Amino acid sequence: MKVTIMDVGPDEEEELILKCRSLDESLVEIINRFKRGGGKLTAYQDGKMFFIEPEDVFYFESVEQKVFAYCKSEVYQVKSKLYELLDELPGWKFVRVSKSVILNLNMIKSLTPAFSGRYEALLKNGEKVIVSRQYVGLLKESLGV
Amino acid sequence: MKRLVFMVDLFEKIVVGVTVVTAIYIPVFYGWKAQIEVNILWQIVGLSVVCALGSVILPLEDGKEVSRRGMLVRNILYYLYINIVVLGLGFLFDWFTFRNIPQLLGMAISIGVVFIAVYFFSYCAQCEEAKRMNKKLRERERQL
Repeated sequence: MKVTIMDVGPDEEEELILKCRSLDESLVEIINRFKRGGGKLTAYQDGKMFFIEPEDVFYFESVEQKVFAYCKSEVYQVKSKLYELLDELPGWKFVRVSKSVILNLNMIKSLTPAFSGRYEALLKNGEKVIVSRQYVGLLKESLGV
Repeated sequence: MKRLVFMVDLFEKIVVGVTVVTAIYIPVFYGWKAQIEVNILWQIVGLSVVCALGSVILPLEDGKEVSRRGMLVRNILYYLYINIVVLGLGFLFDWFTFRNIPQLLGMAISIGVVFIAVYFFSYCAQCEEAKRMNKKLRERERQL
């Protein structure tokens, strides 16, 4: 793909124009990375600010109006709401699995049926996350089942 | 539409379950040489339809989210509904009498067996679904 960088005048607004025949997943990810500012997520822990790669997040969970990003062993707070994260994160990597959880598909080790039509996702760090019945269809769609 | 598909799927499982249990129940209580009327086929179909209709209290896969406890309560209520329907219609169809305790027990056991069998097959279907998803996860892993 050709990359063109043009100078802008001091009064002009900086702008990113993407010329493409169709928007595929990789281009959408580039746009989302640009929107997020470099692809990293701003996260907070003990009053300190961190920049984390979304790919390193196992899942996001909303608890009492706060959203937390669960990494391999660390837990960070993010300021975005779950629905905002869904717009920003690449859809082919992240999927909503319940009202309060967005899961990184690449971090799922296996899925097993649980009571009442739910599934239990065993993550690569050994944690277990419940996939609500309501969101099973979405998960299947994301996996191409 | 999804509700109808769910009910038809359940109806099929109930018909199979009731037919199998009836095939066991009749020789046990009436002997191998017992003769049955064509009516019983329609009775099985009718009873299965009424049982499947009661599944309206069970949530659909992509329906409203129900808690684990809520789901358990709905399943218990559905089981009670099935008992009332089968014992009520069974009595009406002369499948048993309430005075004949062994027959009544046989009916109660039959209901339990069909209920568990239907759930078991549903669970097996869910396991198959999980297998397919796990296969896709492994394919995904290889592509990374």
